Amino acid sequence: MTTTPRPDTNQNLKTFEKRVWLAVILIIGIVLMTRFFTVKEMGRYYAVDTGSGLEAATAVDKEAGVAFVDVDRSIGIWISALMTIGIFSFLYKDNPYYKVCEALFIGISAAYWMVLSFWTTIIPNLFGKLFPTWTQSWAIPGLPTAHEHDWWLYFVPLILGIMLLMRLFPKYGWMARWPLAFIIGTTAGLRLIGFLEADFWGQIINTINSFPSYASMIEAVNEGNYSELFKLSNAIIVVVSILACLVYFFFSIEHKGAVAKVARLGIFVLMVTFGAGFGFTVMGRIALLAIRLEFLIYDWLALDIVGG
Amino acid sequence: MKRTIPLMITAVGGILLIVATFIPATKDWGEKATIWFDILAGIAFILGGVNLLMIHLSKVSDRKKGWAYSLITLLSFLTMLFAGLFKIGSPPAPDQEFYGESFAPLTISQLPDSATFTIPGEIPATITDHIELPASVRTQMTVADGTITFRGWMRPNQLNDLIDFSDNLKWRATMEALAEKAKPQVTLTGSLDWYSDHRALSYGGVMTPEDRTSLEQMGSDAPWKSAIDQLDKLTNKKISLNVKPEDVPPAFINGDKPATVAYESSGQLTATGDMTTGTRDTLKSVFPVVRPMTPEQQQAYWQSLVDAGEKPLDDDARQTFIGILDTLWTKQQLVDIINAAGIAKPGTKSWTQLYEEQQAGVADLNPEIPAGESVTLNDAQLQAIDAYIAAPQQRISQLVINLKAAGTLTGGQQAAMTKYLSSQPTSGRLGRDLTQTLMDKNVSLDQAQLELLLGPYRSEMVWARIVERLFIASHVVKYPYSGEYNATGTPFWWMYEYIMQPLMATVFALLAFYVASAAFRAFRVKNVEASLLLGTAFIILLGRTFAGVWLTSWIDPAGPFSGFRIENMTVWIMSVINTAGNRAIFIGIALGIISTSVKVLLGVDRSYLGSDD
Repeated sequence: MTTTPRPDTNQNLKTFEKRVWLAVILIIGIVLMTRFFTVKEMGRYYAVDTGSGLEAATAVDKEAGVAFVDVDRSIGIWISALMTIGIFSFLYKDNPYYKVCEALFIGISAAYWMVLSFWTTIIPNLFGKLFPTWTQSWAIPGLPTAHEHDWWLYFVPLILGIMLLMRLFPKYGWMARWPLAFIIGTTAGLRLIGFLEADFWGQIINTINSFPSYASMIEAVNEGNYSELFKLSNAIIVVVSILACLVYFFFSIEHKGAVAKVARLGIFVLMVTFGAGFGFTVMGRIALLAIRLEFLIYDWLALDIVGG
Repeated sequence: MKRTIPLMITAVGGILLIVATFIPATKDWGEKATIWFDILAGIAFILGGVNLLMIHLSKVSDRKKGWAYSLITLLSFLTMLFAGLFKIGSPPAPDQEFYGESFAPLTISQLPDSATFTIPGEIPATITDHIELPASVRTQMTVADGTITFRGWMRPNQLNDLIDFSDNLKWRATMEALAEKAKPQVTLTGSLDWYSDHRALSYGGVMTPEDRTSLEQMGSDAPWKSAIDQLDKLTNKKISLNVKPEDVPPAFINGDKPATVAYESSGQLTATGDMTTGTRDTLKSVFPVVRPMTPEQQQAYWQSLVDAGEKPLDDDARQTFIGILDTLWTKQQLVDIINAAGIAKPGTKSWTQLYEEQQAGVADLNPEIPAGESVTLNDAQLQAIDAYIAAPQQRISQLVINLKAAGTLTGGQQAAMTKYLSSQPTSGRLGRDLTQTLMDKNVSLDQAQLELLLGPYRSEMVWARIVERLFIASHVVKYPYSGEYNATGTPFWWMYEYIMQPLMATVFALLAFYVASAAFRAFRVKNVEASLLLGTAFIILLGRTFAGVWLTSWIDPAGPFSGFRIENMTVWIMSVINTAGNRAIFIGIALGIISTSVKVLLGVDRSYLGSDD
């Protein structure tokens, strides 16, 4: 039988937890500061000014006395480390530290994509076409100032873009439907062609091309080389597996009898595929985790561990 | 109407792209629609950003729960946006700054009449009417009534564009003749230019009073005179840097200096006008390259290192040290490079020559001019190279003078020799490489030994920085906003590099824990399917680790069961079963996307339009 803790007990637990965490943070802070002031490599970015820019300093640069601590990038290393730990803190539970990191990430990434699209798309592709002389005079000096013969066509995306921004005003929100319709239409067109070429025809053609030619097989077998036969057997397995999977995806007929058996084979193939996909995903994530841990251990804490 | 027009836009936009894929004549439409799509997608990002701003602003102003986090989001968003949109701290694009040239604003109509050049000619009949002249000359060139008119002076890239415009021999010969006419007078060639896209008169180097007089004689209009005035001031402006005398290399003080750079022994380094990149590189490379060393010289260098310190250095260190010195360039390599560059190559006739031959009735035109005689170094020149090797302080420019005095040295040979010698290490670079190699071999050097090896390197680095500072200070920035918004070192780059990128990577890394936890819960061997999934994942994971490979290492890799080695099983699963499964999935997705797209384009699916409200 379980009992619900009384509210004041809960409060006491929370206070205790807070105190424990404060103590842990304080101890870690003291350890970090001690290390920072005693180990000259910790949390510092050594740079060398080559004249045409800063580069990471080598051990020789440090010995030569041309390396210096780049304050901006050193602060960057600390911020980066604190952000990394902040995200990892979510493993314990949702907490204010994690939320601060999350808020920062949202703000910075939104502005990043906005700036990226402004400088790489809107300025060259829209203003560069409509007002080349003006754009050239401040943003893209290498841009030819002569208009293209059909430059006026770019007023269409400009107007559609303004209409899209009307979504910000509820009264005129309906105007955003036109550009949205264009985006949907062109996306549908691009996707239709892209998937038809790459994922439909492309996959079928690759499957057919994986079969070795009859002549090469005969030649290889005559030479006592059975690798072509192995290739053939693999190609047959691929074709049978694909067909089995497609049968499983085909829901217009009931899966019973022979169809059910083939569909079950398709499920087996799909399960192996999902297993492989899972394995790869796990490996990818663990590799990323290793990179973050390496950053914390070597770049920030400058710990002298084997492999660093 | 609120629904009909959007439906039509959707259908037209999408069908246009599909049609453009299959009909080559409409390819241009498809490309245009794709650019429009990109523009709208870009504007959608702006919409998203503004939306985010509004949501969080309202959350902050209403003091809703978690408003402090919204405030952080807002502040970080605005800081990043400000840094990126205004390109804070971003240096101008180096390839658009025309280093060494000074600009004065001057439009095409303000160019003097003496800068207008005409030649009889027509656009070839094979060029259809709607094709425009190349973009690089479009504002400067007009063709009318059998006369081609060119305003300003023609640059080589413009001539190349005009030559490529048509393969008609007469046109190409005419353009060559026009380029020959459209040049500034000899004393101003190479200095004077006019850039149509920049609407600027340009002058490279320092304007002398004679040059100014020549320029003034070209025109008398006020804008022209004003432009000359501006250029005179800009090209004669002096920028000085105070430097420590000990930081100035003796090779610079004692050697030939570029005409636009002066040094006073009090420590003042002065540049006149906009410094060219060539002058900058010449200044940086005042340190002589290390000459090839004889075994005795190598031993003496090694001994000086040993004597400088108190720690003994072992024979391994000596061999490493001498090994590096053995890799220095040799006289024979230099001679081979110069002689190889002197091998005569066949030339190419000008378009004018070819046109004249065609007019003279030559049926089979041959653009090639037979190669002349090859040039190799003579004995006197070889002695000049010996003298260069024996005199460590001699500059490459002096060697060029000596070689020319002793015999023939072609432009190609001079360029090849200069390029080769300039790439050889100076004593600073050699010292750095030697130290790096000895440190890699865990050779412990004391302070005096390090100073002996790295002192010259430090001097070279300090001088390079001084030169770069002078180069930047002497330059008048022409396009301050032309740089990259994400240039290294800018606040925008800093926030991406040290906040956004680590946060993004860590969020993905965090998934490693959740994937593991999800797998623990989901991967129960309940049936055949789950067993297959678990087994495959296990094999793939093991196959990518050292332990997995080690587990089945006892199976003979050449034997009949080699396929059961875990690394081979991984490869087979990935290349056969996984490929098949993925292909089936891709085909399914493609069919799904195609049918969805067709439904959208035909107006069957209208969900994206939302409700009529």
